[in-house]
Amino acid sequence: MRKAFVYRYHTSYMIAVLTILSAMFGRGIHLVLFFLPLFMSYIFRLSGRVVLRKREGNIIAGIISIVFIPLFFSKDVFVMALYYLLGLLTLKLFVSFERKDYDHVTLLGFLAFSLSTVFLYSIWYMLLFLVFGTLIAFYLFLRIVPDYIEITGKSLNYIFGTFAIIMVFSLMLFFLLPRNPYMLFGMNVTQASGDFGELEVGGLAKDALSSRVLLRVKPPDKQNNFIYVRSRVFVSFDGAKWSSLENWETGVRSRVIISENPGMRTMRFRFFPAVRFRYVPLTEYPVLLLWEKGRFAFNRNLMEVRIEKRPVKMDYTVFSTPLPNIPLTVKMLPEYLEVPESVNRYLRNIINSISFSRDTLGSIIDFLRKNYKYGRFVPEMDTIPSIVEFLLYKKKGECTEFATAFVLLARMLGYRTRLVVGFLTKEFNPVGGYFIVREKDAHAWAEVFEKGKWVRYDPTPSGLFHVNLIAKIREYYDYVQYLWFTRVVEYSYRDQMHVALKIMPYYWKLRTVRAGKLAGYIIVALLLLSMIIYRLYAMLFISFHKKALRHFFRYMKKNGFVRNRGETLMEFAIRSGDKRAEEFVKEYYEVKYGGKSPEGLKRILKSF
Amino acid sequence: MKLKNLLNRPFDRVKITPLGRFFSVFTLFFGIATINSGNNLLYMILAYLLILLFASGILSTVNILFLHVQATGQEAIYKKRTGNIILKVSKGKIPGFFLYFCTDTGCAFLPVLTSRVALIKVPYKGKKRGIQTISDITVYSLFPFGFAKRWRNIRIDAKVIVFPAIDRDVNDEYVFRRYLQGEESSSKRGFDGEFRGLRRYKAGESLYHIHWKKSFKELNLKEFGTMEQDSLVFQLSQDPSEDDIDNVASMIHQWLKAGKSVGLFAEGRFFVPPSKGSTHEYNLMKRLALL
Repeated sequence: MRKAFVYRYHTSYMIAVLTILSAMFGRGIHLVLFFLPLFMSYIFRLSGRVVLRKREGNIIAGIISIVFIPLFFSKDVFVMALYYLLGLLTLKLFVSFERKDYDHVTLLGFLAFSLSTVFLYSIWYMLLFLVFGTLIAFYLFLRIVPDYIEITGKSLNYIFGTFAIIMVFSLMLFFLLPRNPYMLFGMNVTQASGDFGELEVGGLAKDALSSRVLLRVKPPDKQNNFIYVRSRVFVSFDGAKWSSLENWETGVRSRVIISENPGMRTMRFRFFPAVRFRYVPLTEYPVLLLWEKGRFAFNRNLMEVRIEKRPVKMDYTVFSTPLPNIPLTVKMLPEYLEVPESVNRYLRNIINSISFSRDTLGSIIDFLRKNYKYGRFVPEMDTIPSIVEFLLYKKKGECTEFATAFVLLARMLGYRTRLVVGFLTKEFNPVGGYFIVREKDAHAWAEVFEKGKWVRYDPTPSGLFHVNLIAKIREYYDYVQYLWFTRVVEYSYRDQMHVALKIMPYYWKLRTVRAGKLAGYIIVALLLLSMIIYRLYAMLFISFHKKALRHFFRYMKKNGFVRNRGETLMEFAIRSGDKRAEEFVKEYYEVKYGGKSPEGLKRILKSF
Repeated sequence: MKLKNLLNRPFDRVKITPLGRFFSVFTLFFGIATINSGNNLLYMILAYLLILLFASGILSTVNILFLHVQATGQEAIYKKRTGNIILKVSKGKIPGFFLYFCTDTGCAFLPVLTSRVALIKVPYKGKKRGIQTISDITVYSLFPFGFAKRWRNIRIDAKVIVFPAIDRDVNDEYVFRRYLQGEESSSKRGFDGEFRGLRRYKAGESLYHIHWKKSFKELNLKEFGTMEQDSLVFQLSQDPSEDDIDNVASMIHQWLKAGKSVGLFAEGRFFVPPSKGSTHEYNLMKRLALL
């Protein structure tokens, strides 16, 4: 009785622990605070001590309710409601613990687990799913087991083995369940990162320090050790802030297709759904964009792409070529020469100090790299624009400052220039054959309009981007993550159809006579093989007394006796009236249950 | 042969438990939410919930498949009282778990049933005296997750002898109470009553009761009275009513319980000489049941 109870206990305990884990992975450490009492109450219950009285419990419940009221007005109302319920349940566990509470813990644990799917997309979810699913099944099973039955180690193995098989089948079903290309009712997605409406000087590095993977870029052929991913283009600058062009919408088309380009290469992008961009990241310049779920707005003049309706999930293919000839004239781009007046005079002084060579833009870059250092820049002076502060006083800055300085200096010299924000990554995963773009890879550079196309100039000192020497294991882990995202998390109606269309030809081939016959032969051969294996197993691994029993049955059958259903061996032997048979059964029981050596049994068998 | 059995088996009957109902409805709503949101992680849970339902159906079907039940005997079953009938049950190669074997009046629980024979005692309440037929027995189980109660009736055609009632308030107070209070005396000699006197020892008698102090010249033996009572023989008329039989059975039960030897005589049918003990009682009751 005690043992079964302890198992029940551990189920709930484990569920609580897993809920904590899921919460920790998903929403941060603050959730632990809600589950800590749950933990403690279990520990106290295990030691058999009552922690709170009913009255004290009620008082604390009141306090919790008051504390939770402002929290209810936060973004995730349902999540907060769940935590509130969990908090109250925790209190109940403190005060008194009944068997019904296990049901509550399980149910709430399951709800928390389901909720965690909203924000927990990492591969850890899989582990959590396997453990949680097994525990739920075990809990449901324990509900029908009477308390007085002890569950021993061996039967536990069988139980968990069965549950493991159930889990495997559920994973198989996961791929078969029909996906829906449409949505019945939508949700507004409020979360959006990587959305730079404006960019302050010194602002890029401030926000982008984590090593969270944002996207993976899989180029058809790896040409360089690095890859630039464009995200957002800025044109006008007021001395401290960059902002995009106001008349952005001009020349917007829903879809642009330039076909028959011989130098076409495909860039395939994969997104982490946890992070959503307003602007589609691109490598170099897109020619054709294919995406099924939403629409892209494509500004051909600026070579910029923007999503019109922000989707929940993005998965698109970009066909990109070396820069095409664009019918764009210099006259069309007056705003790319604008320099704010507050900066103008300072820049003129700087230009005077630059020793220009034939390559004007190259000499600006050389000047910047020689006289300025790479490092953290924080604007402190209010009296002058921050870019001037960088150029004249601090002389130390990051990519945004270098790029801004370059853009402004180039504009002073009459070059049509703009600032591009995106990512520069050197992290290539050879296992999966893709570049990994992390949050900390955020970068800014300049683009200059030369001979009808935009050309990239990166003034930031090179070699300062650290190359990640990732361990081989980490590469594999990332590849597993990549597979998880592409094959599981983003598995869609389209993928399902793709697989089905791949399988169909084989199916039709099988339907023809020859293939059908072949399949038949294979099945028969497999059956025969399994029978042979079973026989071999029976010959090699079955103990002697079992073999002897088979021999005994054969002998009795020869004499015309067949054992009835429900008849014990002894009854059978007595019914036959054969004394040797009785002797055999006695000896058989001795060998089977008494641990006697089977020599007596052999002797009797010989006499048959 | 087994396949034939499988195809010809009687249909199982299923009743979904509240938990099962909750689980099904929950899965349905979960499914709608999943298909709407298109979240693959929710799809994963949905697949698991569906497989759990599916596994529940398959496992519970297999659980009560190929059951073989045979009635082998019974314990004493009195009228309007619950006694046990003994069933011999076995199953094919696939074991069964948490099986309940039920008659109309009670159930027996068997945690695990393998191909080995198991004997179980199923409670049965006899309504009428005499030979009763239990045509079928219900086997049910909540295995594996308690979502549904699946049951099946198995034909056993067991014949059970129901003894007459023994809980009658028999008007035997005078004799009975006197006996219990020890007021009755006996002239018989024995070794378990009061001391009565001495007599000479005869060869072959036990040495235990020799009075050694008074055995100087010759061996003397202590003599006692006996507790043993005169035996009773109940006589039934040729055509006894149901009430009479119940009364007699109740009296026999009470007297035998008090340690008296009791016999039974039914006119023109049988005579059972007086004796004691539970086997004797069983025999007498059986005779009365079959009258």
